[in-house]
Amino acid sequence: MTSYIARRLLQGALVVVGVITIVFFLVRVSGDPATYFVSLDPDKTPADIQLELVEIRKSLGLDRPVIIQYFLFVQVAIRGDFGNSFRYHIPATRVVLERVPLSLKLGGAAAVIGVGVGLPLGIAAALKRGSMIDSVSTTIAVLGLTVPGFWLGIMLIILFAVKLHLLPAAGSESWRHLILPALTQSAGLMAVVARMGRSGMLEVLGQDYVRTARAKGLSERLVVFRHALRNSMISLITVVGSSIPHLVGTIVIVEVVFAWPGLGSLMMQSVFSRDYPVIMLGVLFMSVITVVVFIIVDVLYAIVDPRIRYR
Amino acid sequence: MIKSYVQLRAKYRAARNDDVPFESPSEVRPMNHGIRRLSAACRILTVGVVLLFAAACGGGETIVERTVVVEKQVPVQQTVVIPQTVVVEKQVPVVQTVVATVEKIVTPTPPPAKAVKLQVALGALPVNLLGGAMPSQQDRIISTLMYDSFATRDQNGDGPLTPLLGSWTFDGKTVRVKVKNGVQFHNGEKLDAAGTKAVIDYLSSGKTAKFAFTYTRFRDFDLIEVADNSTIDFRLKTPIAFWVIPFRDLFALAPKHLENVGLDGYSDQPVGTGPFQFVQWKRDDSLTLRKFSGYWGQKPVVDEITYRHMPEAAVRIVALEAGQIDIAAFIPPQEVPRLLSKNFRVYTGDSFQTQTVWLDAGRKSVELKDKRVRQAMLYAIDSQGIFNSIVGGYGSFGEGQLSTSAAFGYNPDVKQYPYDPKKAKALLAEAGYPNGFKIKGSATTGRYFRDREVMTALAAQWKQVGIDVEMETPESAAWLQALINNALHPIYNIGMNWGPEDPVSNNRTINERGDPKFTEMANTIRATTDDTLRAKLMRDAIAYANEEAHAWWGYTVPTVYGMKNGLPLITFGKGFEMFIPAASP
Repeated sequence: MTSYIARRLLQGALVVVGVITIVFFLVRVSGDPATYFVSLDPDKTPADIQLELVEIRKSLGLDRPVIIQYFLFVQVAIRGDFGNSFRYHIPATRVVLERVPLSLKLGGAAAVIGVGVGLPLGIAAALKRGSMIDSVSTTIAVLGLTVPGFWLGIMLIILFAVKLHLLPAAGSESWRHLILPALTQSAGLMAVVARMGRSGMLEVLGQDYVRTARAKGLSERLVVFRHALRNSMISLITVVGSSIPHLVGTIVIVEVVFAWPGLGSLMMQSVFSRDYPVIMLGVLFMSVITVVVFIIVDVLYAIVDPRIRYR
Repeated sequence: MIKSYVQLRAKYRAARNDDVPFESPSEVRPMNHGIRRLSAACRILTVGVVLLFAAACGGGETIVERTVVVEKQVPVQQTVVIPQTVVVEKQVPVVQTVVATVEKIVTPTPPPAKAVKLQVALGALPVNLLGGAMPSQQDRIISTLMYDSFATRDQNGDGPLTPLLGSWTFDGKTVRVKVKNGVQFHNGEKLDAAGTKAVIDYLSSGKTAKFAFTYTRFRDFDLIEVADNSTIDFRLKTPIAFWVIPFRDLFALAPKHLENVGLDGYSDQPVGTGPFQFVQWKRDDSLTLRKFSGYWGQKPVVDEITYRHMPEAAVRIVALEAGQIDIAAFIPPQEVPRLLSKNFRVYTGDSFQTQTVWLDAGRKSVELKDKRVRQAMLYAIDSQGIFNSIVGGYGSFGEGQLSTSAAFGYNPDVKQYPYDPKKAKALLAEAGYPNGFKIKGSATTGRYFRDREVMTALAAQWKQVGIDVEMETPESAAWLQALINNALHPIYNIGMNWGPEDPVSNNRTINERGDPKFTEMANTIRATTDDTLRAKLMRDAIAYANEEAHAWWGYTVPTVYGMKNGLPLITFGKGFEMFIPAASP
C-alpha cells in the first residue's frame, strides 16, 4: 500500500506539473497584463504609452520569449517563489495563503453538509422506496442538481437575511456567515450523494448476502449499516471523490455571491486582471487538492472493500 | 403479451418483497422495526438540523451588534419630481415620474451619545493603501479619510482648489508652500517641509513606478527645495495655468515611516494625517478605520468605519435591507424607488466623470471625417430621453461639453444637439450618404454606469437615420487593451475625468484624433496664466469642439448610495470622497 501511495503521489505530481504548464501558456494567450499598469494620463501621447508599456513588461519579466519565461518560472517556483502579485504588489504566496483557509473552511463545511445530509436522505429513500420520503429525497436531489448556485444563494439570502433576519447576507467574520454559503455550495453534492446513496443501497439490498444476513436473524440496523451500507460505499466514495473538483470549481460563484474572500473569488479577480503569479499559484493549490482527494479516494476503496488490494 | 406482463409483474413483486419482512422466528426483530428506527433517526437528524438553525438565530432579531445612536436631526424633506421620458421601440415617448427625496440639514448634526460605528459596503476595496497611489474610486473614498492632501476642493467640489495642509503663494514661476504647523501623523511624526520634500523625491524617483502615478504630475517642476523648516519652493519649468493640480493629489506621508517600511510596508501599515487612522485590513474582505484623536482639524462624528467588500450590487442591497451594513455604495438606479419605499435614505450625487462617446476616434472612418456626418449622428440622439430613462435622471445631463457648470471656463452658450432625426437625415444626404452607411463601434460593458445599455440605445437611434452601427462589447480587459493599442472602433465610449479647475485638459485627447486647431487652442490655454483670459479661451475651445461634433458628452457618471435612516448626514464628493459631519466641540 505504501509503495502504491508513493507511486500515486508521483503520478499526481506529474499531473500537477502538466496542469501548471498548460495554464502557464494559456494565461499568456489571454492578453498583456502590462496594460493594467499603464496610466492613461491625458498628457501622454500614444508613443509615451507604448514606451511605458515596454518598461512595465520589462519590470514584470514579460519582455522575454514565453518559453524562457516558463523555465524561469519553474526555476523559482521550485523554491516556492511565485513572484509578486501584479495586482497587490506583494508576494503571490502571501495573497493566496491568506485565502486558502477560508476556501477550505467553506469547502469543508459544504462537504460535511453534502454528505451528512445527502447520505441519510439517500439511505432513507432506498429503505422506503416509493414512499413520501423517497419522493422528498428525489425532489431535493433534482432541485440540488438543477438549481443554479447563484440563484439559490440569492434566494437563501433573501429568505434568511432579509426576510427572517436570521443570518448575515455576506461576509466571513463568524461561523454564522458560513451557514448560507456552505448550504448553497453543498446543494449539488447533497443531491448527488442522495441519489447515488439511494441507488447504491437499493442495489446492495437486493444482494444474496443481505438476504442471508436477514435470514440468519440479524437486526435490520445491523443489516443496513454493517452489510448494506458498507458495500454501497464504494460507488458513493467514487461519486463524492469526483465531486470534490466540482466543489472547488463552483466555489467561485458562491464566494462572489456571498462576498466570501476565498481562493475562488481571488482567482476570478486575478483572471480578470491577468495577475499571472496569483493565477499560477491558485491553480497549483486547486490541482494539488484535486490530486490528493483522488489519492485519498483510492486508499479509501481498499479500506472499505478488503477485496481491493493495491500493488 | 399478457402472460409476459404477468410474469414481469410477478418478478417485480418478488423483487419488492426483498424489502418486505419475511416470516421470521419470533426472536428475530422484523425488518419494519429497523426501518422505523432509521426513519426515527432521520427525523432526529431533521430536528437536529432545525435546532442547529434555531441556535444560529441566537434568539436575536437583528444581526448588527453595535448601536448607532444619533439624536434626531432637523431635516427638511423636499420632494423633487424628475420627469422622465422613456423611448420605446416605436419611438412613442412615455412620461414617467421618479420621485426622489433630498434631505437638507438645517442645524449642525448634534453629537451622538455613544460611539458611532459604520459598516459600508463597496463593490471593490483598494488593492493598495498608500495614499493617492491608484486613481480609483475606492481609493479616493478611503484615502481621503486617512490622508490629507495639500490642496482640496470645497465640500461641493465645485469651487477652485484651496490649500489644506498649509498655504501657498505663486509668483508666476515658483510656488512657495508654507506647511501647516501642528499637523501630526497617526504615528506621532510631525509634518514639516524637509519630510514632505523627502517623500516627493522618494516617490518621484522612478524606482517606484508601480505606485507613482500621481507623482508624475510633478514633472512640470524642475526644482523642489526646502527654504526653511516649514517652507518648500516648487519651481516650474515653464509657466503653466494648472500648477495647482499636483498638490490636489499630493497626500502627506510620514517620511520616517516610509523610510523604515518602504512602499510595500507603507501599504500594509498606512500612516497619514487624516481624521481616521488605519486599524485593520483584510485584503478584499474588509478595512477598518478609527477616528484619530490627534487630528488637527474638526473631529468627525463617526468613531469607526468598516468597509466591506461586496462585489455584487444585489448583495450590497440585501445586506443593507438585512441590517448587516449601514451604507451600500453604487446602487443601480432601478433599485432606488424600492429602497426609498422601504424607508432607506438614498444619496444621489454627481461626479467629475463624463460619459463620452467619441466619434471618428483615431480618424479611422472615411464617413466620419466629414463634420456633417458627425453632426448628423448627434442630431440623431435623443440625449434627454436616454438620460431620463436609462440613466434614471441621476448625475448631470451633458451640456454638449465635457464638464458641467461647476467647471472653470464652462460655456453656457454651448448646448447638447437637439433631437432632430429629420435634420440628421438631411445632413447625411448633404454629405453624400442619403441611405446611411455601416460602421463599427465598441461599447464597454459594466465598466461605467449603464454603459452597455446607453450604447445599445445610441446604436438603435442611429439606425433610425440609416447609420448602422455594429456595436461590439468586448470584455473589460480586452477593451482596455484595445484602447491602449488604439485598436477600438471609430465609435467608442469612455468615462472622461475632468476637474473644475481644468475642464479641457482631457479634451486634449482630441489632439490624438487629428484636430490641429483644437490642439493649438488647448496648448494656448495651458500656457495662459491669466484667469479671465484663460476662461475665455476655454469657452472658445469648448464651443469649437461642440461645433466640430467630435463626441457625444452624454451625462456625468452618478454616484448613488443607499443608507439606513438615522445615520449622521454623510454625503459624497464629486471626486468620490466621503464627507462625514464634524462632531460638535
